[in-house]
Amino acid sequence: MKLDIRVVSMSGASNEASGVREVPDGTTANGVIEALNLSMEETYALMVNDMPVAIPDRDSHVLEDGDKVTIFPPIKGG
Amino acid sequence: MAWQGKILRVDLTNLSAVEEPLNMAWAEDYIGQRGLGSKYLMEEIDPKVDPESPDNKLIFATGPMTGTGASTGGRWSVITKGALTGAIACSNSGGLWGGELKIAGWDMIIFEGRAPRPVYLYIQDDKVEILDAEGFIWGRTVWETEDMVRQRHHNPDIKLASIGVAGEQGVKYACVVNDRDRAAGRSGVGTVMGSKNLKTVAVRGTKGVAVNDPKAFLTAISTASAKLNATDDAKRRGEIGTMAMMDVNQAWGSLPTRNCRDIQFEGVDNINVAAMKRIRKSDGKSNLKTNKACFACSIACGRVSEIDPNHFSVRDKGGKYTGAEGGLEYEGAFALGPFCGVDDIEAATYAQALCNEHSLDPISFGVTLGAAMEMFEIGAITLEDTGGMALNFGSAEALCWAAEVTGVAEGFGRELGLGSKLLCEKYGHPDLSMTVKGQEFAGYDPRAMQGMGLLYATSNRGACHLRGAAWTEDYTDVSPVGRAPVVKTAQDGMAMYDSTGLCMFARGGFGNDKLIEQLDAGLPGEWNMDRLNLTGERIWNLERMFNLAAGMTRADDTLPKRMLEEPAKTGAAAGKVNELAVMLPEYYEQRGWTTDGVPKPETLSRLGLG
Repeated sequence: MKLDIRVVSMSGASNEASGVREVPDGTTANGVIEALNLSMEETYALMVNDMPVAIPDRDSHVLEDGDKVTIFPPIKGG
Repeated sequence: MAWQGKILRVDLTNLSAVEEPLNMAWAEDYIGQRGLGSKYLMEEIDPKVDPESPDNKLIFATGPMTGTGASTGGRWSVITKGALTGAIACSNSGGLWGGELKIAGWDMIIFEGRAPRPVYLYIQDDKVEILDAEGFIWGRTVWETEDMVRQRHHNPDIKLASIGVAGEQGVKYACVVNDRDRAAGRSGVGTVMGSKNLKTVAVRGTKGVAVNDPKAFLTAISTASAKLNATDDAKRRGEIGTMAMMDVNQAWGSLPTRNCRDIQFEGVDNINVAAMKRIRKSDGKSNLKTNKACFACSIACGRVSEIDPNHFSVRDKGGKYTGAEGGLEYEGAFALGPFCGVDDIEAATYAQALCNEHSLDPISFGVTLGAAMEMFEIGAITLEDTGGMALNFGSAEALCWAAEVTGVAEGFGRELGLGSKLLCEKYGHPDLSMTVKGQEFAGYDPRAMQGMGLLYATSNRGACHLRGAAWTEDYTDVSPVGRAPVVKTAQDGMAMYDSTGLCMFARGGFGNDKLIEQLDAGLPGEWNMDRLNLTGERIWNLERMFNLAAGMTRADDTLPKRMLEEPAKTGAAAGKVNELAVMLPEYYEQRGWTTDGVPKPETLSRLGLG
């Protein structure tokens, strides 16, 4: 299945991880983070179709074809 | 030992200044800067005083680490009763000024009374002079003041903390600007300075700062810096500064847009990091030129920008604004951009430059203008009121004009200078003011960040993102569950940390172990996290007691109706409002306060405040 993935970039540069990607059926929210080789400890937020998926739910949240997945880097304001 | 042990008390009414020993018992309990300044304020003024009366006091305070060479040890604060809020105000700045004051031999300056005529203070180590500002720098901008004072005293190394005309003329959210573009920005601390007829504090220090155990201190600060410098967080802040938050809040749906009517901004790509770096067609340059650092900082998150010389805002200004100047940081950018619906980064950079030049808090200015724009669009403010300028959302022309007239408090600029709360009340729409305790929102919408809503509501200086946010939790889900203890702990941690002289951006990088090592080597006595945590909680409760004594109640711990009743339209919080009523009782309980938000006697006793 295909996912529309966006890793929110904070550098203003285009992010190689972003774009439409093919993943195996049954991939979970956490599975996407692993597939992109992002650090689990360093990712704050993840949204599927603009709705947040809480950390405890990410292993059980199975994605569907065409889902839009937005992943945030760790950041605090100031 | 890291503290200089000396404060300067300036009686402006009688134009005299005396040296006093620092109260070391208080320093042990409140550290310095925010905590110690608040303790002095609490002890010395009636919290009910009019903030702009001679009875208010104005305290410029360093922390024990300020000026020592500790990693990021350049912070200092202005503590007073805020002109914008009527609450206790502590506004924190970086740059070079704080380190200079400390190196000149002073922990703190306390200004009392009101000068009979405009004056400025000039400190050269132990030599202190109160000099006339009338006919010299009174009526001048911050930038002119810096240049003229250095020239008069033949010393380019003088550091200055000043107000511009906005501070002189009583704009309610005037700040104190040091080193051209660093500012003790919030709560109207510059307004209080103006009310005292004090234009600038010019300092040259050559003495240095001793520490308790120099050898251990050198090891502690070098290992702290090395640890900090190796983190991705420090590198990222150096490269892109705080502007990173623009895209994050847009994606999450927490970007305050058009006076919080909206929560995501369609023009964000024209006013984010990418826009700052984009090469302009007009002159082949980008808005962002480079970055810069404060005293003893290895992060260098500060932005330096060059405005497009062909932009309408600057092309007839004779090159005054087209050199390299302090650029947009996120909090200014959200307020001058999305909050007013403006997606013109050059206009926002120009407005930011005017805020620095005239001593306006760009957050409060932009958020006040956003409220004025909404009132203009519904007909509550008219062309007649503004003198002919249409204040529509999205108008870069209106933004630039508003910054010009507010900076010098002329025409409708006097109205904008009231701040959002008083402006909205005056024009009949108090519910359109995005403020808490009179202070304008920062760049995070509380409907999408529940913990931020609790923080805004309970922050002792009014709406503020820097008083202890639940960042991780708020960017994980849009639930109020579990926010109260996180916010309480974060608030206490910030109150402690804001008292040390170090920068909050470094703490996550070098961690609590290096914080302790630096304090323990620099100061006499034993320092550990238990002591620091208790100190933070003590400071928070002291500030709370000030506000209660000033007449504030539980009713002031609230959010604008829009946050509580109008659901977010889009983003992670679509359909949701802030659930403050769920979080606030739990928060009071966590704090050991009554259901009315008053610290219980046993809480005060535990903290040494009873």
